[in-house]
Amino acid sequence: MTSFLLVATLGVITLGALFARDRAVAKWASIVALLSAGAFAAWIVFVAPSTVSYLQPVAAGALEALRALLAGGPTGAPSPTSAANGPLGNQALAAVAVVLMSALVPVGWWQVWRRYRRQAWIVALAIGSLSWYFIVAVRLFVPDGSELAGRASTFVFVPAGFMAALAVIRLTDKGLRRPVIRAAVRRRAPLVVAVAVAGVLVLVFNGLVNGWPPYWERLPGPYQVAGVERSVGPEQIASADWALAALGPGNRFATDEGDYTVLGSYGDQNPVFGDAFLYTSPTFTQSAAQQVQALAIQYALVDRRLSDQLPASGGYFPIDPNFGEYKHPLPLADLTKFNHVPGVARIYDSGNIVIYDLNGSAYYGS
Amino acid sequence: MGRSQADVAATAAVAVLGCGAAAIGAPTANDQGSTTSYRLVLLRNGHVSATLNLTLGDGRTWQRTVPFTGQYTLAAYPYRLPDLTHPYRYVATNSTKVAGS
Repeated sequence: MTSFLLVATLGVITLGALFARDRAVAKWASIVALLSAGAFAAWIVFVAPSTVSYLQPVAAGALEALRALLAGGPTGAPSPTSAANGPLGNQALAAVAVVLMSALVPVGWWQVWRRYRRQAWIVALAIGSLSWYFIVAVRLFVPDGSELAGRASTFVFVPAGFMAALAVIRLTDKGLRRPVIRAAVRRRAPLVVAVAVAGVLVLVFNGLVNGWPPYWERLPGPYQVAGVERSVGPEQIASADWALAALGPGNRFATDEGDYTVLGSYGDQNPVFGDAFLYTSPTFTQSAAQQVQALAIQYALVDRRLSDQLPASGGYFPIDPNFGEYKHPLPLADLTKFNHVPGVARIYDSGNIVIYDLNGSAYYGS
Repeated sequence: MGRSQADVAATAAVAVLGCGAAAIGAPTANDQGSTTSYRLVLLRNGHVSATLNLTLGDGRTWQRTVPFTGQYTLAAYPYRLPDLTHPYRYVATNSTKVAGS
């Protein structure tokens, strides 16, 4: 991602230099951009070809959302009531910050046009600040867009922040100078400065509150269902350690979003994607059995807290067909049905986490 | 590890496994850092076959091998004393899995 953005940044600098008619900067920036692009491509092709498959789902999701948006259909973004959106205060702050930044950036462009259009670097920053509107669209319309937007903001705020700073300086200066009567300036000055400081503080706190990682992922904090780092605790680690010690490495596990990484890392197991079906029905079904066999699932890890909380990230499972759509936690019956499926052994119980052995059970036709 | 028997042990969780170990324990007691007493009730096909009293110090584990032959279901219910009404955890497996593991 950083390599890609380096190439993109050098490209933007080249573009800025061309607009500013600064041939020297355009020359070296374009050469370095081409060299970087070549090195980046070579790295992808020869060293890290899996990068393509790693990023493919994100790109496919973004394209699908774009198609849906253009077609006027549902975009797949979390509904306004989704837990993934965060507390109301966060959402309100994000909305104010988006409006503020979206208004300030064009003022910054105007300043660049008036004063700095012959300065290649500043023109490049102005071009780069267009990405601000791109991440706003991503946040609003792309599934899991808050993550993409949050991660991208690390880079986007460099040019967008510069434009906003130019705008704040200009607006503050203008606010202090008009009207030109000195007495009025003195009276107005505290108000103008207060508004400017408040605006800047909104942007600063928005960076903290709505940047990445999101509020539900920050440490320290209590356990969160599907909360990435906040889903990792002693109980998860103990269950993963037990799985490795008792079952050996590499078993195919069905599990939820929060336990997925712990089982794969601490437990050296092979958690599978696409297992939501196993946790979203109250009874055993032949359809589920067929899918279990197709995925060759040997064990199912069940965390009963999935029935206590909505998923912080928006989905209970790594690939969740209901991402962002959950209004209630999963019914407990969906999680405890394994206790009643013939042949399923309940082999581990730590209170919240239960591991079931599906081998030789009804899921495999036994 | 014997193929016709199940091991029962005590750690921070309760577990039972085919040819592997089964563990029984009390994370809350251990988390609290205090010595806790448990009663482990073993059931075969729903009937009590053995009752074991044990006391675990903080972070301690307990393990016992239980003979496991024939066609039946083995379940282990640890109770955290003095509560003998509600099992603290439970695990269950069947002899087919143990023998076939």
